[in-house]
Amino acid sequence: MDLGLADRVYIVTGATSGLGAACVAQLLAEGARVLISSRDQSRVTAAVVEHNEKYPGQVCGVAIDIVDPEAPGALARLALAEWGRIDGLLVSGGGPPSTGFLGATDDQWRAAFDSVFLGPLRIAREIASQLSAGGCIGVVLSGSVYSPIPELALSNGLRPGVAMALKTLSDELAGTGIRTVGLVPGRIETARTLELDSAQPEVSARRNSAIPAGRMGTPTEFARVAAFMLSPAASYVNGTNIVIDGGVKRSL
Amino acid sequence: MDLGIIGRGALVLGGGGGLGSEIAKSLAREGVKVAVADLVEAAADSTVAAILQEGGEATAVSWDLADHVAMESTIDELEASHWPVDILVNITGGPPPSSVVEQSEELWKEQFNGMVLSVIRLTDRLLPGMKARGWGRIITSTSSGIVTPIPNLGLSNALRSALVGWSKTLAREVGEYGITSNLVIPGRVATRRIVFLDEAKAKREGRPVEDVTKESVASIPVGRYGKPEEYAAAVTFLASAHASYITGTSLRIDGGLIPSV
Repeated sequence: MDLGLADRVYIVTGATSGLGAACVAQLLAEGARVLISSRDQSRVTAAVVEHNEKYPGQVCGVAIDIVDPEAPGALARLALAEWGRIDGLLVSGGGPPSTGFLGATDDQWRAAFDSVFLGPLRIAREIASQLSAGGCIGVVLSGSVYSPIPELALSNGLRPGVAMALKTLSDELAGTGIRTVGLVPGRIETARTLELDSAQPEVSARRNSAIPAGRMGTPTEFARVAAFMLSPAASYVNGTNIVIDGGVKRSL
Repeated sequence: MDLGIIGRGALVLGGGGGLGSEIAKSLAREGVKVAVADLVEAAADSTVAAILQEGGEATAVSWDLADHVAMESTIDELEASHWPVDILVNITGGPPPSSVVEQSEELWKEQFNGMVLSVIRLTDRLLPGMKARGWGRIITSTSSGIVTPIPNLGLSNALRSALVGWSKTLAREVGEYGITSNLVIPGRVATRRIVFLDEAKAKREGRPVEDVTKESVASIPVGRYGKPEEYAAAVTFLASAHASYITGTSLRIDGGLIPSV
């Protein structure tokens, strides 16, 4: 299937680890040009060097913090200077710290609001006006959009709002040819998830046994779906979420 | 992107219709051998001819959703003389426009038989083979009415919703065998069925069909009806090796039509 990604320009945040990194690799493999970004300048530099060997000319990078109000402008300027157009955005990033609801402090809520809610949505808002027709805005969400995850009260409280704001954005982009899509991962074997799991092996074994597919997902399984959804091949998928979770979501 | 399904066998119900024919063709382009099933034999033949012309592999199957006895022997024959079914695309025709009140028991039963039980029986028939081979895709096409009920499509809204619970339950029961079960939800995809529904609405409300269509399109964020090939692309992706971690869920291909998250 030709996804039509060749030479299209994508901005990816959280692009040097986990799901974001897997999505970058997939987009590049499909011929897209990708501006990668994350907080850590050394990791961005290393990733650009690495990708440039395999995909020369297809990648550039910048260190930004998603909570910084200047981040969207910096991303747009660089992508436009490098390639003269932007066809898509994938907002990925780490989740908020683990805490129960009763134990979460005001400061934790404010910090999580900046990193989980306002940061991603500010980038979506600012990049939306820069996207070519046929462009797509994807945001990596969480199963907490549908069911609360124990000890992730901050995510449970904030992610559903991100999904609803994204839906609102798709309505407001009516007629522009720009789509939005939310990507909802379940338990995926990223380095971060495996690290958290190793700290509590019994809990993770119990969680894995609840997955109908009988296993965790791989970052590549997630990334291939993301590449399809961000591509012109998914041109009539808009204002909705796709769940990549091996069936673990309990509700319909 | 190579979808990793070259040589797989598929059965596409409604394969002679507007959505089914595009799905059958799209799967065939990925190297899938496609059994094209339709009540209207000439329609199935036409899809098969198009696939063969493109160099794909396909066979036509005469299919009556309501005839569960014939289904058994049809599948026996298909699997014996052609290929085992790894990918099942369940598409059933839409019922007549109707309210939910004061419909006859016979009509409810007839439509349940054709739209729901047919899908359940066929899937049950194919699952043992998929389990034995350790791979399978059950993709059931429904309607936006399972999320937001469509006025005057009462039978469809009620009966297709039964498949939501069925598909989700099925996903858990077969997940360990490498089989996924998902729903696809079309919005207004430009097929003869949509033209028919627009015409029926225009007639009911005594206004020109162009008005009805214009109003309908205006409610879709992408600003147009979908193309059958756009629907087919999403279904084909769900049928692919790459959709291995998507199960027990639904994918809307509706241009943003459904107003809820």
